[in-house]
Amino acid sequence: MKLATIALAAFLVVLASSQDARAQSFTLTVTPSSFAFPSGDPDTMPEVQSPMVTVSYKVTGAGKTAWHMAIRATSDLTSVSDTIPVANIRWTATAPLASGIALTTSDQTILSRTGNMTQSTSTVIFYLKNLWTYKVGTYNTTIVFTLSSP
Amino acid sequence: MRRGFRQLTTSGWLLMALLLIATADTRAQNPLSASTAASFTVDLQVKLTVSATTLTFPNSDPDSVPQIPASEGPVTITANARNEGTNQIILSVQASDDLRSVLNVIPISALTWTATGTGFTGGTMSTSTARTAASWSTSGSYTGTMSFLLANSWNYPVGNYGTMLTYTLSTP
Repeated sequence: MKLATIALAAFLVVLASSQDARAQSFTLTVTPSSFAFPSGDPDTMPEVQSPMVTVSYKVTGAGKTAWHMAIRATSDLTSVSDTIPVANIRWTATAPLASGIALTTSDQTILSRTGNMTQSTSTVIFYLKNLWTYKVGTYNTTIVFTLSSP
Repeated sequence: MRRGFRQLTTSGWLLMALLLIATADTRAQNPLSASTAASFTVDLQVKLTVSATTLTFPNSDPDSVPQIPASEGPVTITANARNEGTNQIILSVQASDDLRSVLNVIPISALTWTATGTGFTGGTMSTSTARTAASWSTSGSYTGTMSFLLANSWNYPVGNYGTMLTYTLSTP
């Protein structure tokens, strides 16, 4: 009987923690799935601008739990034989997301909140320094947005 | 009673397993990421800016001024280029003709220049060959000066002489 009580208590603890975890749910979409910076004369276009990137997100069941959204690039802009530092990309974002002066390959927090957030949409525009020093080639990277809570 | 306990613990273990699976599923969404792929294409591109469109060499005493500098002073050249790998970027200059007046000619070889700036070099003008004025091996924006000198001589007949210089910036 005592063992049964302990087992039942353990189930309840697991159930409670599980329900907390189950209740918190993130939704995150980024569109478009790919884009190209336009080319241009570096003298007249010292920066080239991406099309508008839409970030849609929703947090439910968070209770009093803090959560964050971060941005990073998976690598520098890389061609077959050369690289462009990803720090040459800055971005502007509509509230509540934060803008940044230099993208990095590690996460930079662009939003911190506690509790739920209804379906929200922000737009982000990326700006790449357009330098004469770039070598001919096609350069690629991936920009990742991440929602997380501790 | 003992049977009931067994039933309870068996059910409990099943329930615990289900809850653990559900918990694991939820944890798979934290963190949750979404991404967009970015690309940028750099094409071959060159751009050349020359500060002066005309050069004038004033009449001077050949004894006191054997080399006449251009009145405009040094010509500033800005060469911008994006090339592939380490291919050479070359700035060349060539005269369309000797210095000619209505009746007479001064050989274009009388026109020389000195240069300053990374990659820039001095030389002697030619009508038959584009002379290299500068070269570089990597993409970039380069600025230098070319100071033109005309060899002065008592042998030159009176007249107003002219020619055209053409700069060419190229990558392979």
